[in-house]
Amino acid sequence: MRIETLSVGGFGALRDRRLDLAPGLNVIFGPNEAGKSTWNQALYAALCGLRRGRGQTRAEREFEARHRPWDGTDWWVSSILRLEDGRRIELRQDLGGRVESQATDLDSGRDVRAEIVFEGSPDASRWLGLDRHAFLATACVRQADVLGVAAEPELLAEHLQRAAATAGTDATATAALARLEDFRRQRVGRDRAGSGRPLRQARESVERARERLDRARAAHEEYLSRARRREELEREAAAAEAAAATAAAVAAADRAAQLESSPGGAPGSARWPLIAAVVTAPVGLLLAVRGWPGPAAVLGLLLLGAAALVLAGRLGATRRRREPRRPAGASAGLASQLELARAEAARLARAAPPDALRSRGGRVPTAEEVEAMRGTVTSLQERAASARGAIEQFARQVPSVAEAEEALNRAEGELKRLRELDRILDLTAGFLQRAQEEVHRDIAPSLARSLRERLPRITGGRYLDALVDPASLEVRVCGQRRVWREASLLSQGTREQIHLLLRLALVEHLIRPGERSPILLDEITVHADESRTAALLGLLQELARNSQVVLFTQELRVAEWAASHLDGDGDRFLSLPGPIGEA
Amino acid sequence: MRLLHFADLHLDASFRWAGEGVAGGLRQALRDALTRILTLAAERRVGAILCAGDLYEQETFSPDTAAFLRQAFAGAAPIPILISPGNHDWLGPLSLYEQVDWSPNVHIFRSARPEPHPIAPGLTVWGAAHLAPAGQPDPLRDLRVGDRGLNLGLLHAAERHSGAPDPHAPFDPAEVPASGLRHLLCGHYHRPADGEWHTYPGNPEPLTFGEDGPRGVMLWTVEGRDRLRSERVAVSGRGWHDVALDVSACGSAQTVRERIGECLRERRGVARVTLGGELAAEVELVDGALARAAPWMDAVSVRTERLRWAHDLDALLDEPTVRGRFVREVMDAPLSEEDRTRVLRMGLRALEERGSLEGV
Repeated sequence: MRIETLSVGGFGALRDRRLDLAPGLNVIFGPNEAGKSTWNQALYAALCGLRRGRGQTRAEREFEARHRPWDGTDWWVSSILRLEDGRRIELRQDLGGRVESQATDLDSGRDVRAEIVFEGSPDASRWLGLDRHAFLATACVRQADVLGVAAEPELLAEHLQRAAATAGTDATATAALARLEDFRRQRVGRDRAGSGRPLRQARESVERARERLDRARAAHEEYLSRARRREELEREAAAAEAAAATAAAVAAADRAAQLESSPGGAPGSARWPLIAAVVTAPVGLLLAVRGWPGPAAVLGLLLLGAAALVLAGRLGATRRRREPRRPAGASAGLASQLELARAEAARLARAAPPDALRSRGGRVPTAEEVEAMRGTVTSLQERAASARGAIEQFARQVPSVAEAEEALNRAEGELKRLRELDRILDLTAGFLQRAQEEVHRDIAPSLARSLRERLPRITGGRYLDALVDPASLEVRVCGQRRVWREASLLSQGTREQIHLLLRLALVEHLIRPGERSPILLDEITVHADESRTAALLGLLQELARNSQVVLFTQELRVAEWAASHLDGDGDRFLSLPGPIGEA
Repeated sequence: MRLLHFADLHLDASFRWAGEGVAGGLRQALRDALTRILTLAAERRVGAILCAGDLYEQETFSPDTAAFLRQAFAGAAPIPILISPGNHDWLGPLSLYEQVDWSPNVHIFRSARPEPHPIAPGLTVWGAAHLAPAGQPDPLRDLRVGDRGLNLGLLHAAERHSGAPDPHAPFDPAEVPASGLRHLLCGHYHRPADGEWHTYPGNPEPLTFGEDGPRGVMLWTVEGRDRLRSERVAVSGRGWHDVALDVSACGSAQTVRERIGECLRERRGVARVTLGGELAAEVELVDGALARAAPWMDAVSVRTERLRWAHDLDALLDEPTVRGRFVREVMDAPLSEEDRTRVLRMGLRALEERGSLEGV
């Protein structure tokens, strides 16, 4: 891919400007404030566009603050691109997001936006197999990148790792693995005693919840068991009460019968048969005489017979009572006792179950036995009452089984979630680790090969060979004496140059096979001496035979080199006028 | 004469999905539903209240539920209340039914075989009890109720389907007319069902999500000698909503929360929201924050398992980077789709330096 033309509608201080580029090396010279960095960024924006979506990252906010047109005009840039398949594409990027950005095939007029849309807008680096983030991290080498490596030597390896991991857009694989491990340590942890981390805590929560549920279930069972025991006691007390009542009734009835059958035992009651006989006899006689020979006569005869029987019984009883005679007072007392015994027997009979009375036979219980039974009843009733009180008190302490089940379910759910998370973290780290090893194994020789080819030329033969460690992607170089030195320990200028070479190698490695990527360079020679600058420019010119290179510079020696080395066909030297504001 | 028929209230059920503090409210809702049922019975002047089992949970009932039931049923007197215990409130020595000194209007069927209980001249209810939590045989087998009057069955029983045998009193609807019963008032299945010979009223108050649709109690009107007319009356005091929500257009967690709030704005009660669609990779959802998106609801449970995350995997597959290799290897690995999605998401988030590796 090559950029033929860049047109700027409005971008920072640039307005209605156009830049025609050669397919090879383009050196664009300008003093401070001439707008070199603005042109560089406009070129990037014209090629890759800006992400469209909700929210803005800090970098996006800064980009907009710096490059939105100062005069409030529409923010757009466009470019005409020549692709490797021969198509010419006009790409118009509406950076303000007001209208849809467009990508049009200039030969067919076809809309090709769908081929390269990325994060909501067309991104020409998609044709290269990159995206706008990866393009920025590899094919755009800015002064800040170079200075960064100069200031912090370890950034060299990190940049390589980052490029290898995510084409430079995001973290290195090592950092990603560290993040996974840190995440596991914080959010899962190890399941060992004394650990305060979530996994151990969750397991202990489950154990506590299980114990809680066991206690709740045991209490529930205990409650049910106590309830059953209370019912049994109540039933036993009721049965004992019925038995005692039956026994007491039987004993009382027996005592009443004894009193009644004893001599003079029923003086009051003896009168009633006599009265009955006196009344029944005349009525029977009258019915017998008047009703003869009808049913009334039969009834009268029956009444007469009954009266005779009662009188005969009465006479016999009277004879038995006459010897020996009792004092009148004793007889009255006995009658009173009998009445009381009868009343007691009747009362107890009412209390006793009728079936029990009917079915009861055999020996009459003694008063002591009845009393003992009553004692048993009292004891059982007291125990039943005590059980009732105890169960009511216990019921207030019975924990909710449902709540304990829910708590256990929550705890088990959390433990399961953490174990699943641990398993997914394991899987993820495993895949990432393998991917890192394989990619580093592939990329390390490629980078080393590229360095080996270009480093001697850049360094004027000081460094002849290079190695890239597949594990860490750390670079080591050596000279003629074959003493290997870590690149991060080399001079500032050499580090910058190695960094540039690695960036070029990365672009070659990362883009889709068969594609060629434009290289956008901004002030990359600031720390190179004259000879190395010339060597570097020579290398870029050579590189530009294959890939378009656009170099922005303010260095006069670079401009002089360009003026003397670049012809008008494949390459171009362009001198920007003075400060933009004065242009 | 009117009869009120309900079943499967499951007092003291545990709500395992519910968070702490929510489940207690849901259990109270079950009691409230019973109170509404008894109020409805009084308002509609029913001649009897018929409960077809699973009134409470034997394994988890709390002691004060016994007192609550006694008081509630005594308060409904003189309306007779007939109960056929089910497999969750099965009748045994330790059953709650045995611990309560029920008011005289309460009759609990105690035999595994249906037995008659006349509730009005010419109207008999045949009920039975589960005597164990499982293994109850077909209660209608060889049952003959005679021809006199209107005979209704009140059973906690499972309509026999062609599938696996049900251990909970399975019956064939054809056995109902063969037994001489005019209709079988059932409990057991929580989904309401109206058969020619049997009716399930459904559980009056949902116990879990998915138990939606018309449910409640059945009001039966006996017309003439043996004509029955039914009316289903909802008694649930709390809405249960199972909502699927596509959040594809949401560009941030805040928008997702707002969408949840919008879709629940007119609803009250309990909701389960299943998020679907595709979210941008940078959107980070926080589970607890999502559940608080509709604070006017009693409880909101948000499921995110069906969400997809918008990584341009096709583009990454071509990348000669660790990321690209990682995506290729995960895509080719023999993983379940759920695991694949989680591993990809976690790995890419680790490489992208996202705030949370889970994203939810």
